[in-house]
Amino acid sequence: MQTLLWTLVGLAGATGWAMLALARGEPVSAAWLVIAAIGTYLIAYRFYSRFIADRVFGLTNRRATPAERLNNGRDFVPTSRWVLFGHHFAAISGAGPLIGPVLAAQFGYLPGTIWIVFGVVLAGAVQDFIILIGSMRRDGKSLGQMAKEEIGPFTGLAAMVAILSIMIILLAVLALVVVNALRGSPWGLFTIACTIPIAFLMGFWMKVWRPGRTIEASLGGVVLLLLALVGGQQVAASPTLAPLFTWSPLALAFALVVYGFVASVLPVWMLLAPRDYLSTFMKIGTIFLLALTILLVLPTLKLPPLTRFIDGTGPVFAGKLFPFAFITIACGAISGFHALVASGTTPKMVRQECDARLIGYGGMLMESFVAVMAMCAAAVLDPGLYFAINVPLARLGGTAAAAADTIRAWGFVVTPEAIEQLARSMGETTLLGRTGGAPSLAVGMATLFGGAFGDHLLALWYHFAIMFEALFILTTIDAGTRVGRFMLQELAGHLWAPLGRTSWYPSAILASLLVALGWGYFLVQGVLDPLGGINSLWPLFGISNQLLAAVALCVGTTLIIKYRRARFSWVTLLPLAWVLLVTLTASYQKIFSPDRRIGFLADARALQAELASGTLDPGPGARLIFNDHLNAVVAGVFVVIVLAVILASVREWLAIAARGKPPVMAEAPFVESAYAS
Amino acid sequence: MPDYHAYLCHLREAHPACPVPSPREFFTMYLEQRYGNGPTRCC
Repeated sequence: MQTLLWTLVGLAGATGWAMLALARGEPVSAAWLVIAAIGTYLIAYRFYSRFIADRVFGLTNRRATPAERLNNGRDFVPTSRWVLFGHHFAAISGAGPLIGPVLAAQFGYLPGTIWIVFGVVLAGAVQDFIILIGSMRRDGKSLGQMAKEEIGPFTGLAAMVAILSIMIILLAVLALVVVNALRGSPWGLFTIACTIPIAFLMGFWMKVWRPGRTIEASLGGVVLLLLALVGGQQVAASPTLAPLFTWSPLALAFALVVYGFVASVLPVWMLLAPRDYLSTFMKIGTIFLLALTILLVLPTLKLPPLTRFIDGTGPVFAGKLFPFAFITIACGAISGFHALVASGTTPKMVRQECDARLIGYGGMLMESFVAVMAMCAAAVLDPGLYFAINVPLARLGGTAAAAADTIRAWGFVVTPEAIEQLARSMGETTLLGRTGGAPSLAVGMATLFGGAFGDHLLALWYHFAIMFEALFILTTIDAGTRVGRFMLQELAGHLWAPLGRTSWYPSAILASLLVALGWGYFLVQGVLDPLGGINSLWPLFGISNQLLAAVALCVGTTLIIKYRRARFSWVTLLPLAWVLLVTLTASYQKIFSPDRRIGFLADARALQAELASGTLDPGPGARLIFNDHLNAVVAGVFVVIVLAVILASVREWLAIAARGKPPVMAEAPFVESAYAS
Repeated sequence: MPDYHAYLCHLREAHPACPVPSPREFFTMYLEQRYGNGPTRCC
């Protein structure tokens, strides 16, 4: 019976892939994409994750978890596995899996989908799961601590520096997405601005009036937020209020930096925690709604499976299918950042060892499914409209007519009227050149929701989707600035001890300011970039995130070898090799490619030539050249750090393999669990 | 959000000498610890 069931699941998945692969020109339903993905996830979860749990790590419920042994009712709390699955999923999933696939859709839906699904099964979920196991067996130690104890002190320090710098790039690129979504959009900006007073209200509710009642505060917050969404339409229609909420990109960027700074020094209960609750509720609700709608509408994919832009001439971002599709998808397939959560709060709450499979591996499969849905939302758009929204204005030409001509020249059918009509129906004045992925995802989601619930609410759905994306990006920004502050304080504490005291106000303010200015610099650089900034910053983020994944996979491989399971070390070595191949190729091209659209140095040289010939203003010109050099240095530094980590790890593996070095592990001792019987 | 009463039970059992926090203090303590270490949000 069991065998029959799994054979059917396998067949369903295979049929889904076959339908996608064999389609030649005829329209394909998004249902096949969803079936292919779910079928693959189920098979991988049932067989591969169990193989890792049983054969590679020998997970057993007889061994007590830190939550059981160290239960203190606060951070070490045995938690039911479905509740913890929800917590963990809410913590790992952010804007990345929504934006990456939308950008990668310029290659067509097929390459992105294949990497999202097979990447997660063989790499992303494996990384999250193994780091969770490692941390769970070490009383919830962080990735940095594990790197230090299992590989060496240098690796620990390198991991910490890498984490901090990746955080800064991540925050900048996410903030840029918000700026592009909210610029010139009074409706969107009003709704998002309202989330700040709503969060204060929730904070007082949870802390002062009804201590600990997080659920009722969150539900109240969601209701207020939906009212603000509806109110935004009135604001946008009002001739006196609309100009107050129509901001330029630069003004938005400065406001975001100030917001990030303030949020990271205020007490958490006031702003950060309530926003976090609010965005978690919104996120889980919206993702369910999106899944339900896709299954209900079963839309047709209008984007071709492959576009001509796999040759590297793509207008959304430059670079060939390999390696840039894999860099752009980012978090939906593998994300080094997840290793930080899998070695943070989650391992301290796992009730029984075997639960880690559902939480670590299963949680990441869910994240990947979000990415598949984002791909569906991008692929249901007319390709012509997709490019009208996602290509920088400088390449499209400023008017709808010019944009339509440009896009027609690429071989996609679109009329200026269709572009203008789309913006009107979404309640915006223009959608041309709204790069960053969020606006086109919102249009896709609004189209899907409109298909399910009627077209008369399109503008409301569009702004709902924008609000939902901006809300949880801002949550990442305030939480991220705060975490960056702690990391910087910890690093600075090595130089002068008082700087390391996180509650000492001068140190807290200084560190917060430095972190906010750090990502703020890259944000403003992106805003002022004539090509929209996403083109240079998103690949930098993708590269750094996957290089962090390489560090996590190195730690994972070290653990496998130390458990004397070296014969299974391909489980982490294969994804490690792939991630390195992709990221090192991409970083090399981003730095040294002779094509100025790809290579930072080539762009700097081209700008210098323009300066010399007088076609470029010296002021902005010098700034653009400096930024190109800075980006090249950042990419180079990431590569050097990761190569050093790899070398240190390989040395450790070889020393153990040669039997010269006994595998010393910092694992907590075995204690019999009381839950097992 | 961990359970306040479960925490009180744990305190009474494991550290009977410790002062007992009010629900408000417990909530603040929880939030500081939840958002005080490592990342709570990814990408």
